[in-house]
Amino acid sequence: MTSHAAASNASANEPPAADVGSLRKIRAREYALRFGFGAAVSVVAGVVGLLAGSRLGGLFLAFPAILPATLTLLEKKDGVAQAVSDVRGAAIGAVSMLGFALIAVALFPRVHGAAILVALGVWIIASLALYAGLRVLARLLGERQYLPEIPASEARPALEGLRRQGWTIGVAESCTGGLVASMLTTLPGADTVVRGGVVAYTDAVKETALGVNGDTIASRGAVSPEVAREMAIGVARKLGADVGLGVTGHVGAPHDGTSRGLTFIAICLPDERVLLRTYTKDHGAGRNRERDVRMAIRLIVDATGAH
Amino acid sequence: MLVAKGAIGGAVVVLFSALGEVVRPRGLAGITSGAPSVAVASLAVTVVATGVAAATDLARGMIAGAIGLVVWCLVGTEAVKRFGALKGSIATTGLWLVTAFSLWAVFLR
Repeated sequence: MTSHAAASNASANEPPAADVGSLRKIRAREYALRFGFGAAVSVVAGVVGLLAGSRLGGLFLAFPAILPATLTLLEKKDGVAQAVSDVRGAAIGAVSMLGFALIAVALFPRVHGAAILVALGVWIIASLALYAGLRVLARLLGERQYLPEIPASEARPALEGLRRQGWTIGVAESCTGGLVASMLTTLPGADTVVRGGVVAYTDAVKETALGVNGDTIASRGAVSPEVAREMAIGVARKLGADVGLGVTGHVGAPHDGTSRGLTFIAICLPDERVLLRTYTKDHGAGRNRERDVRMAIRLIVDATGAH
Repeated sequence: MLVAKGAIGGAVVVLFSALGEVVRPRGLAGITSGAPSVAVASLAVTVVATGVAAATDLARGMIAGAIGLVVWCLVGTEAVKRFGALKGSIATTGLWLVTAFSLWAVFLR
């Protein structure tokens, strides 16, 4: 029995949002560390300014003081992909910081201290405009080299759901290239629920490694709900897992007449029910892949929570 | 003046860091890592304590530092991927020093 969810494009990529609750997860030591670095650089800039002149001291107003500490903490908590995303964001902030400095130099003689507020306003507007512009540009270029911006911790509810149900899982991935298995196995304790994964990128591997019927691929296409379903059932059977997940979709431009961005994700449960999700919207190759990973994780959460 | 710069600078850094923790996704939150936190505090204290001329000179120096930070971020993206966050970011800091001091020596000294 297959439960086919209505085609959905919701939550394809993480939209800009604020999570105030995340502040409570930060230890006082981390705040103290950042305060210490900020204070130290401010003092160094002041001392250098006094000893060698304000222009030399001014260099340190843009010193990357807290970045090493921030990135190290981020890498430890959420993985290197998040640290890289943070540096990319910092690059936007840095370009805008150049604007901040230029505005400050131009306006100090005219409006004195108010120049700082104007420069800060320019920094905020320039940063947000650059971020939005780069998102559009990246989408237009297809973002083939894009590293997904997904914290490994997002997979935790999926692992907890599987553990709560006492289920093991096998993962069969085509367009996501092993990223779902990678996320699941990044978290501690994954060995008790994750049996393994198969990256079945070609039709031949789908048939030989997962037991997908060649006729199904020939008649329905490799990117089809039927193939996603057979991948999920096949990987559970081959790996001896209670639950199987199958992901199949187009990474780039399709050659079979189907639409770019089309992805099917299926999960088969111990009672032989199969849940299926369909995504049709194109966000560019990299973002499509990010969406597919995120939605596969969410499907596991939904499947384990529905019991 | 140094104590005031240190205290306010540290506080503004914490403020932008907290903002970075709240905002999602990480690419957007990362903008706060390139925020002029130390600059806002130092320039404000300098304007009050020393005057606009010294603050203008600080901001001139900051132009060179900001160009160094842009270079840091561009190279840092690859360095963090290859060598990890700690080693990658510390190694790239050397590049900031070379870029910022070279610009200062050529254009601002």
